[in-house]
Amino acid sequence: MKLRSKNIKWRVQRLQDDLAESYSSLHVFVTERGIVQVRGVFPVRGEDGKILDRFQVSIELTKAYPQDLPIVRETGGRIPWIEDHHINPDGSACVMIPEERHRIWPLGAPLSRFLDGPLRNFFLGQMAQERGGPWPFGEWSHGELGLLEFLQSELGTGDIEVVLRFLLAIASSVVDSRCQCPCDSGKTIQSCCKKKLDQFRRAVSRDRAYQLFHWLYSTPTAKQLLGVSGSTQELQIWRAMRTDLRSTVAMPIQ
Amino acid sequence: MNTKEYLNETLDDQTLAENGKELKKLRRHRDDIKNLLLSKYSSPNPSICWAGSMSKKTMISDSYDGDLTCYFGHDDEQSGKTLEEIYQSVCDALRDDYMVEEKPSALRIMSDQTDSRGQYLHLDVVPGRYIEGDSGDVFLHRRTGDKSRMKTNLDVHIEHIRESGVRDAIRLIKLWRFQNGLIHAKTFVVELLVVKLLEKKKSSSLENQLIHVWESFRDNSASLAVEDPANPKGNDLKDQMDACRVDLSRVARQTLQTIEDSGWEDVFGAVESESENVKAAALRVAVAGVSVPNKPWLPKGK
Repeated sequence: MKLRSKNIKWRVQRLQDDLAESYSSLHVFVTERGIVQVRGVFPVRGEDGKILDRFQVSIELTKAYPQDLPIVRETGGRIPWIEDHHINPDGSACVMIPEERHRIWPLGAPLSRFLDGPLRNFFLGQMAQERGGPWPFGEWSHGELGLLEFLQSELGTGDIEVVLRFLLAIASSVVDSRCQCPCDSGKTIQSCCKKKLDQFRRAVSRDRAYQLFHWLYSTPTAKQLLGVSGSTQELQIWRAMRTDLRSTVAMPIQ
Repeated sequence: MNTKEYLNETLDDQTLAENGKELKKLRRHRDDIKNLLLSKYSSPNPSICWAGSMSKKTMISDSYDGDLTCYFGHDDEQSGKTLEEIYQSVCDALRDDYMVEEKPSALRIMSDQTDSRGQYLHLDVVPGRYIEGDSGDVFLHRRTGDKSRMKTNLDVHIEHIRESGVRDAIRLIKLWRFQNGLIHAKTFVVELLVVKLLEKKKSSSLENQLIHVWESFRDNSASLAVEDPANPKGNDLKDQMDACRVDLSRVARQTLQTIEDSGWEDVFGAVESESENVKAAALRVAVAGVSVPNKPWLPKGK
């Protein structure tokens, strides 16, 4: 218990030091249940450093932080709690796809970098929305479809079958580099997308890959996307999931 | 703009227009609740009126909710004989039409109506029973804590704040509390603190009043104490004070530093001075300068 309390104090001090310079209007609090929260006013600065706007926020750092993303809530009552504003029914904001963080806010980076980058971008988007404009950097579709779009974007392909093969490779416990590359180049993973695949395996958990794979093969939307309807094909995929990676990744989808 | 003008502009900015749609919506919501309660308890009618910031005239537009009393006469037993029965009876009456959250003494009604910010309107109904005589003293049921009832007096509270002569300072400190996420500092306690700290500073400028309050929070946090004017010896506010004194001190220190480093606008935010075109242009420049963009998402699909 003492160790935990010491650990929280240390975390709080580190956070306060991190925020002191650029975010003096944000304060660190510890709830009765030992949850660390950063609350106060988040300034959205312009290119010249001048404050363009201010949003009241509560940023919760769960016990799984920094592995888990901070839970951000706009507490000033300015942003409606609706999907179109990317706010969940409980008021938490969906600032980004968690799998994207390796690119924009890698594990180990201080909270201030999250505030400077993804959170500032999110509020710039909300400001644009308030003025009736589009999301300045675009938006992902909600749910699994957004995840699929993200993977397609990261892989630089619109081909869902390629995405599926990557998902299988991510979901597998072991990847043999001598296998055929999931990108369908005909080369081995070693001599093709090894770096990209390793990066994905770090960014996307096996569970998440499995979940998305399952979604792609079990929902009408996804089936429409894939242009498949036969259960035989679905069965083939699931059987393949249980075989070794060599046959899984190399398996022809069609 | 000097500090005095800035603070006055901030106060104006925080004032809800008397005939504005926000207050109209809140009043409509109040009337619906009042009619519902009057239809359940008709002879004699309980006293249903505004309490809280609406009655004390300390409302701020960034954070406003309504508080309504539902006080029964001393001999009135239509809602129950004990305070707990009264609380439960009013709760049941409201539950027929609303979602009700049971708070320590009040009943929070979650309206299905939203304000212009898209937020659901909250209205707290406080059931209670008048104590014999015409002092206006009321007993409220307490669901939590050591005591099961609490003596209070709405008129005394209203007068204490309204006649304090420091309502502007109270409103700005409430805004400061809200903006800085000081949720453990109860509004009631903060109001009493400001009145007490400014007892001898009523003629000071608003700027000096605020500085004095923050300096007191910063330097004397351990000795800060308040009394409930409606029941000075009976209602111990020490626990509520203890829950917030460290946070008040820390945030006050930061605020004073901010004023020194960057001025008042970084405390309460800029008052609207630039045109929409200028602001939109600054936004466009900021967006264009983003080197690592990210898109928002939602885990659950429609």
